[in-house]
Amino acid sequence: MTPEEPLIRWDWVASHLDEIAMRAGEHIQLTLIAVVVGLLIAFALSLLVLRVPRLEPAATLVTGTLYTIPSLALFALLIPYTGLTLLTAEIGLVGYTLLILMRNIVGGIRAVPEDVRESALGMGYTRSQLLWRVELPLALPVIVAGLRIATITTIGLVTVTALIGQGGAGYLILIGLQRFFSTPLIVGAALSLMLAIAADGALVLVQRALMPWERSLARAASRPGLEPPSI
Amino acid sequence: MSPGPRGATVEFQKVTKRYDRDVSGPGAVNDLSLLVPAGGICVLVGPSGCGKTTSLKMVNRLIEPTSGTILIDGRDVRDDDPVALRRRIGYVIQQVGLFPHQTIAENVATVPRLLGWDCARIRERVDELIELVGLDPARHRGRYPSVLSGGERQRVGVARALAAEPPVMLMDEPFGAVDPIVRERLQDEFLRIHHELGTTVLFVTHDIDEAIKMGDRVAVMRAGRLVQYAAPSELLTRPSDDFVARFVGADRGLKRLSLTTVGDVALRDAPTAREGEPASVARARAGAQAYVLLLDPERHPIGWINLARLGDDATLAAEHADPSSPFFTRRTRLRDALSALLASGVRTGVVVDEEGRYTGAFTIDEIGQVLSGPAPA
Repeated sequence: MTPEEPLIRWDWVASHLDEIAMRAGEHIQLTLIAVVVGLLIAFALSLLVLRVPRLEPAATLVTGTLYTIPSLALFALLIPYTGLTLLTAEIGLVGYTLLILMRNIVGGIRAVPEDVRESALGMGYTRSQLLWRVELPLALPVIVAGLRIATITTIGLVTVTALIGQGGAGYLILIGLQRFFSTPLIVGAALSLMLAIAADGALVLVQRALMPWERSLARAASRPGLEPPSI
Repeated sequence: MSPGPRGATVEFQKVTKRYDRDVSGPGAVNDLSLLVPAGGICVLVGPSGCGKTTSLKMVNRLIEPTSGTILIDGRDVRDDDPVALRRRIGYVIQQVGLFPHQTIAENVATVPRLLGWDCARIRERVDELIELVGLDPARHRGRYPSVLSGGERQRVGVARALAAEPPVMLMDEPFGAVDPIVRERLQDEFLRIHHELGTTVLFVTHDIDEAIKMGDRVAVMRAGRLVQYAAPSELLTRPSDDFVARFVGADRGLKRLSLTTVGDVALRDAPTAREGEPASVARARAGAQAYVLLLDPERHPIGWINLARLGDDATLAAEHADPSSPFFTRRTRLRDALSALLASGVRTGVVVDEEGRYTGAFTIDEIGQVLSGPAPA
């Protein structure tokens, strides 16, 4: 990088639009796989922990450990076994989502009011109907909150997977670093940031669409006393 | 609405529930035997920890008894899968437990949907029920529980429990979380609904006044045992021991007023007068009494007139009548009548018929006579 070089060379951006779009696509794909697989595993773990609470410390220990291992170190550990592959990248990425997702799923379901659970069972819901029709819908705000954190974290982490040959915005950052050329570096960082913001916004929209009752709750809370106290 | 199926009998036979392994100590419920007749309201009442809620939850098997049998219409509740059993039993709890993520209509439709009714039938039934509990289907159907008042939530809870026309309904302190005025109204409306449907109801409360008002029969429990099982009037006149006597309260004589209505009092005739009559004529008719009751041409009472305040040449008019004079129907409970009389300072209550026409009168003294007489049937 030389002092007379501008921070961004727009002509480079214009001539590399195809590549930028391709990297964005890779980034989204890596993130989606990680979050979906992470959600499935975390969901299974959560059901296990809810059914057998004494397994909770062990589950927290394992997912907590995965969460704290530096990603580069984890990739280095995995490469002898799984190579420079998508699998290596995804093992790392999925591992990072588990703690947040499991905590939010378990916490969300535990926060379902006891009276709601009791009345559901008392009216003849089976255990699985209780889970799918009552507990999960009511835990959804907490679960989606976890999903938002996990997704944003993953989008950030995907920039690191370029180091093991799995592209995404990280690839652009890597080129920038290798060539002392600031344009791709900035484009890569901005791409990752924009993806994170867009994904978070999309999840908020999904949450609103899935939870119409939360809207009516917010409406009721925002105008206290307007509802006539009829009985 | 179509008349629902009549209620089923519910019978406890030597039912015991223990939470600890210690067989020698007392359980949460001990050797409870109790027969609730079909279509009756049986109130389980007692101090907290007496085992009333445990007993209730053993009927729909949210709690399994340690020993003994519970029969619904002669059939052991353990013969059925608990899930199928619960879908045939209405269940209302104090916190209501409405599903916050479902609309009122969806909440009410819970059991019919579990039972797989078709959509059209569910829709029709839901509107019918919302109306039955005194809400407006068009206004409330699509709302979420969060925007309802406490009383409205309880109404929806009752509607939801009644949805599949259960022969038995379990209610655990259903009106415990609402303020006294709302509670009273909900109680009255539930009694009306019960009268219409004839469901057998087991009702748990710690409030003896509620027990006496709601119950055909009241089961007083203490420390897991049934102490007395009797009609409310018998409980008040003949408590089986000191505990029951203390529990029903030193004011149990007054409580009997809640069980008697104005119709139980022998009515007398009060002196009456019409608008436009001269005061002298009314005075001649009243004899020794200072007050006459002013009636309009259709014999609707307007209020008492104090003749001492009027000259002989005065003409009786509505503005002379005391506007605070209380009027009652034969169905007014004596407790309410006495309270209204004491509040208004008038000693004579006026009784009107369904159309609001004067039919007779009674005094506070006559209420006293009802109290000192034998227990009402």
